[in-house]
Amino acid sequence: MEEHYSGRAQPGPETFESTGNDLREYIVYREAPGASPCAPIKQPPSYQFKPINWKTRKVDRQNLTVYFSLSRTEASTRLKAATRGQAMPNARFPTLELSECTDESLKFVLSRTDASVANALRRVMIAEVPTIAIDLVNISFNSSPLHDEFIAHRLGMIPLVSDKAADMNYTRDCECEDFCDLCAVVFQMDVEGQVEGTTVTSQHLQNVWFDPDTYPRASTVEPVHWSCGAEHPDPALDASASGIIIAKLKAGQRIKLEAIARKGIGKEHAKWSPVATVSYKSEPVVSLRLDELNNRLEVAQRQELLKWSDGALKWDARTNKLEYDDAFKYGRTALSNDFVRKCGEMLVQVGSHPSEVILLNNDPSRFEFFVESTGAISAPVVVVNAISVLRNKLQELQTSLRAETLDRVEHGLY
Amino acid sequence: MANAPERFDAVFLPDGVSKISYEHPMNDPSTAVFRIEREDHTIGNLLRMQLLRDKNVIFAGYRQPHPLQHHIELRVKVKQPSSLSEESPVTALIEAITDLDQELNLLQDRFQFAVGRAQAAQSETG
Repeated sequence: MEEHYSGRAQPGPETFESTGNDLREYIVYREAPGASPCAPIKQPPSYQFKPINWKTRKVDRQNLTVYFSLSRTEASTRLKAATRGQAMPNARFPTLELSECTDESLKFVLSRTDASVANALRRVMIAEVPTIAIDLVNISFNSSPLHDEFIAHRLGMIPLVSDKAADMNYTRDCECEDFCDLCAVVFQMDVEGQVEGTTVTSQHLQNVWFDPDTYPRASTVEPVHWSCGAEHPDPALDASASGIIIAKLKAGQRIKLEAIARKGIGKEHAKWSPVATVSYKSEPVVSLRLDELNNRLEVAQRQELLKWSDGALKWDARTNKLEYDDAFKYGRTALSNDFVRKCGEMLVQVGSHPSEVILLNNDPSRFEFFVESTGAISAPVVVVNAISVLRNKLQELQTSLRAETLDRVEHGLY
Repeated sequence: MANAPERFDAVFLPDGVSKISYEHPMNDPSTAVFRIEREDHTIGNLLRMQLLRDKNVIFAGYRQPHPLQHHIELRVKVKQPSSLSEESPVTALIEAITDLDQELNLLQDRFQFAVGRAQAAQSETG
């Protein structure tokens, strides 16, 4: 109980009354005060969880953070780690704000973590979340203007609903001889051109294993015909409403084929990637060198600038200078794009370069993510699956590292 | 296309190959070079940055030796030379993986919670 993290004087202990509610009464040593969320904690706090009897015990409030001031999940993570006897001095506790959430796209802010985590997440979403895509095409008849390989490639690019991909096997791991309904889905197509001309689309692909009772997994797989899954658009209004175009046939031309879809990941071929885009950017933090600003601009310009600051700046009537408002200091407001543009124009007018006054820093612990799904898996599920994939990778690595080490010990390499 | 590498080479771990192996260069027990099979910058950079947060680790770096070789090499040096005690590079890596796994676990919980709340709000507003 006597550990301190900074050199500052410790205030005397004070009595802490129980609030009477039944929140988990555990305590955890607080992280070093003033430590930035991303910087490594210099002196590792020992996360010792001890039940407290609030009624009988005096608690040094400065030195402790009570359990319920942490979020429930964060605290339970620490608690689980502590019960396993692990101190976690180097772990991070990222937070997440979701701002837009539909099946197709997702916007969220990931903060209190490192660029390596954000980038790993992005890379896994693009390349390592499994989906199902057409991989093998047997063409039995093709008199269309497109050659066989062309059609096979186009078929591969069609996103297929892959909600059950996580439950399916990779064909190379499956116990079946060639392929089966546990590792593949078979589509058939036989289209003949009519006199008025026929457009072959993804809707002509028929799932052979459509029966949900016999094939609970394979029957759910079908092409994603429309960009919006909720409502079928009217073909009369929207040409793309008929599905994804594969080829166009004149009278008498014919395509007959069988397409076998398999599970795979984007690293093997981009057609298995569940996302159209995943991007992240770190948030720029705009600040000003106010002394320089006040020196270079005229009073009238400074007053004009005040109007653009949206409450981030205030006017000091005594000195006629601009100052930061408290709202800006406490991070409740920020300098807008319009302000930065206006300020830059004024500085150019007086012959200064804007970068001498306007400072741009990127906050390297805050990442704005944008995820757009192809429709194969809904965007929120892509993120959840990506985290699972990453965790499985790490756990597999740890297991085999332990096995490798034990192996060496047995063989006397240590 | 006869000499093109197989598409699944980058993904599929062949039989009998261990996912991770390591050696101590120059017989120095405080340094280890881990060879991680069928992994790339995703895991390499993630582990490197996490290892650098460990105050016992004085060097952590990774490389992919060649784009057609589907493994990475992760080099870790820790402060005190010892075999399997607290400060070995192996335990440093195990701890780094544990910390990352906990972080992702927390992230998963928080993400699912946020999505659940967003979807509930959407269904309320219709």
